[in-house]
Amino acid sequence: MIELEMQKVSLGYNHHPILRDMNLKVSPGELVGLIGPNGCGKSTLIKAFSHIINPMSGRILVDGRVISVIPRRELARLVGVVPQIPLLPSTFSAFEIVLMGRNPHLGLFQSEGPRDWNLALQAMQKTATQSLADRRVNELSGGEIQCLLIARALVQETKAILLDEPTANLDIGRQVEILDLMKDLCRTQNLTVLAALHDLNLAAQYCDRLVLIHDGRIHAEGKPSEVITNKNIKQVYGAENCVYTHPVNGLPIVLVGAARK
Amino acid sequence: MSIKQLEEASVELPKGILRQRWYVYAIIVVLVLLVLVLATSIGSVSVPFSTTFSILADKLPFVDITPTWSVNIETIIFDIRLPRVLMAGLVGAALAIAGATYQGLFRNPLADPYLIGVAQGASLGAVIGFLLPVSWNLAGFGLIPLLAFVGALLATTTVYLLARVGKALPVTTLILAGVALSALLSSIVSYLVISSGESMKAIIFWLMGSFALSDWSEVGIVLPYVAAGVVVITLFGRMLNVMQLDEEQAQQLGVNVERLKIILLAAATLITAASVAFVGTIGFVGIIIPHAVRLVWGSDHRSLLPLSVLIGAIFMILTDLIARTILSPTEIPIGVITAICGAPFFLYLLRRRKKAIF
Amino acid sequence: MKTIGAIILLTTMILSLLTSCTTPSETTTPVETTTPAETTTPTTTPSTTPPATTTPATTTPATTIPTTIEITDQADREVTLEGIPETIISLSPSNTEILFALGLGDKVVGVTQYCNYPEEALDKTKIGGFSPTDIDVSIEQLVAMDPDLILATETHMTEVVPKLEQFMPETAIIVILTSTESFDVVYEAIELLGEATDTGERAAQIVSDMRDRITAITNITNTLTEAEKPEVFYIVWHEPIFAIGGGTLGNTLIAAAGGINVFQDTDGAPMTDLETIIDRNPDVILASLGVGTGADLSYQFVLTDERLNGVNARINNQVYPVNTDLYGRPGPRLVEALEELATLLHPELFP
Repeated sequence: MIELEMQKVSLGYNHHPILRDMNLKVSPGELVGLIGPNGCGKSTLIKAFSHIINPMSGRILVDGRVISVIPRRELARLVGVVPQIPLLPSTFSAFEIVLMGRNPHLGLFQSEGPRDWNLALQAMQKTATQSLADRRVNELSGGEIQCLLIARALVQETKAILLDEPTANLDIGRQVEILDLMKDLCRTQNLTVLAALHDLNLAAQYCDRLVLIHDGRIHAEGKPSEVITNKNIKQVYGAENCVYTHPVNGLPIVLVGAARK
Repeated sequence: MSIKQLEEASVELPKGILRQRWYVYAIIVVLVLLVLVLATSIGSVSVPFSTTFSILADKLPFVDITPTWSVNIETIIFDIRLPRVLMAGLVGAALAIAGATYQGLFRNPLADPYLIGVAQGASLGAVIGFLLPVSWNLAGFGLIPLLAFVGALLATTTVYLLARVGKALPVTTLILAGVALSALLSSIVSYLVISSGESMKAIIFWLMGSFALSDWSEVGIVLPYVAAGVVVITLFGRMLNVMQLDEEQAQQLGVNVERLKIILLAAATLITAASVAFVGTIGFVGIIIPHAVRLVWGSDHRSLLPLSVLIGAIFMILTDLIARTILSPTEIPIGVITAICGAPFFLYLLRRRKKAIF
Repeated sequence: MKTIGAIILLTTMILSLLTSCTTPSETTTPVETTTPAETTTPTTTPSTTPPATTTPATTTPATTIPTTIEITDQADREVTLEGIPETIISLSPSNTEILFALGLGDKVVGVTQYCNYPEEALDKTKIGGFSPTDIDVSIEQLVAMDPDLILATETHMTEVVPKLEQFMPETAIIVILTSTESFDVVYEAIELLGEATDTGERAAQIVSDMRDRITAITNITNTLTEAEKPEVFYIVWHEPIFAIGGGTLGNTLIAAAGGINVFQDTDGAPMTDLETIIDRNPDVILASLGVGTGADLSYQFVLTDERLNGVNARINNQVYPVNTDLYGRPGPRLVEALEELATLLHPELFP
């Protein structure tokens, strides 16, 4: 069980800050959703938590330790990432790509063994991709690739998972599957999950907490019903009168096209 | 669960698990030895195959054969041909694995061992060595190989310094800097060659690459470099696989990308420099052999790297054999042969197997 | 860090450019293996009687000072000289040597950068290079200097001579063969030049002197049997290995000195390898000095390379350096080369 935390962090590229004064905590067993308009910095935040970029100021802590002192291999055993638009070479099969998730657990001389193969197969079963095992990546659809990447993150056996728009290319059936899976992992294995989502409805339905980012800062944070409000949506997205209440579970839903008087 | 258990559970085993069986390597190693003996038996002076075999066998420990051959023939076989063939094998192996490493690091199918300036740096060093009015021998390490080696290392260091951004070594910048420096050095070399006067023939011959003067002392110097480099590089086979994803993903999967780049670049450059310093720049091998290996055996670096070593050695030994026997005793520069032999063969392989190799 | 890289770059460039400035002539160590033979003192005044020559030159029947001389040079060109040439430029080292031997040193106004004998030649204006791969002669400079006579060689025939004929119609251009294997051609060249420069008497003296000394040797070596003649390997360069083959001056010298060139079966300067040398097992090895940047690399190679230990020449310590200038130039010094070589090959016959 590990905690991800940002203390007064500002992030940017080339001395140009995109996010300022980020104070954020993700606890074990929590599924936290990052929402906000395009380009608001969700991917940047995820990169920061996986130590791809360094913060311009402030501290980022993983499991209570400053991220910059954690050796890369150890960090990869703590935090797994499902990236948004990855480069995947077509010289490896889908199975081999998933198997690469075992890298942080293997020593220099080691190669994957039966346990690793088993884990990979199981992960692919959980993400309904086991039939794709021998296919080359360039033959697969965007959705299939996304599921593969989730399988890879699972195989990595980390304590925290960061997802960057994991449901963007998936059909509704898969979207539900994947998010159910993530929720389940949080409950049963106390995983710490942070997901950048563009679909506000999915975010509201699945996330324990939401963080709404706007103008380089955290605009709102809290339970879905506290964050997804007409006021917030108007301020951040500019869309008016879209928030309704789900008839069954009372969580907010966002509908477009109906004007409310 | 082992493979057997998985199979019994009739889980369909993906092909990724099946890397090269050990017997593939064994067969190819035997092939290397055969080619080695073959090449040692053939030369401008004709020596019966049985004699060659006996001479070589006699040198093995615990084997003693009464000589039926003259001392001079033994000198020809053991002191002239064998070290030359061994050098060809070493250099072929070195260039092939260096090429595979560069292609893996840069994720670029056109990368070859000379990408970041080794060839031109070595050429410049060698040409300067030819033109200096000194002749030198430092423990068997002549002036020209020494300057070539130093030139190669200086060139790559310069490229590295030029391309570095903070602590990172962006791949595109590295390629650009390498190409730019190579172009510059190449023009200097051309100028020096034109104004070299009587040395021109000798210089051009050196630049085109040749194993003609390889002897045991040179083999002794090159071998440790190549062996060390090959060992280091093959250790990182699995990491190179992961590197084929973009650098971001590789980092997220626990690979210290910058450190890996430096280690592998240094190793590959060192073995290339050591090779080039003694035999000149032999083109083509570094690009083609890794690709040919990929076409037949796939892109998993854990097999690609060792197989490149073996196939590279075989290829170079054979092309050197051709280079020195077709117009015997005149020698065709080996770079010509590698190109002539290599290109059509590769095109043929490409046509036969159309699966993606990159 | 980038600046360090740039500095290394700059230093490399400067260093390499500086190296290119070392010209071979500055670095050639002239090796005099024998003292120059005594030559007859040059006559001071040009003789009035027309020189008696044997071969292709047609002489004009002049009584006092010849006004026009007509010559057929060694490229079968008809050349006309209007009066005795007072200023002469030589485009090859061997021709320079002949000119000086004929006593025309004062009239020589231009030589190549490789003309290093005699010493006076080093002070003359340099007009370009001469070697099989470097026929860069500065045509402009020649036109500016406007000499009466230019001595060219057959290697200049394709480009240089036509240009000279075009731009310098007043200048006489005589072509002398430099890649020849025969002494007779050399005699002919000397006599030809003697006629062209009105030093015919001197030329005749030189030629007869050469003939005498050469015959003195060949008289003896011609009586030797095959078995008595050592097998000789003459190496020119070692990376790759080039040997002197048949149809060359070197080959002729070896034969005249009572030796057999192991590579006489191939003409020119064939490329060969260590195996073949070991196989042919020469009794004597001659190594060129003064090729390239003047270093003795080829000599060191044949002298010390371990793989040649089994060769006769090494066993009997018969590996000798020879001065390429002496052995390769078709000029008066060939005699010295022959005498030296004869002593090397048959010390008991020619002490």
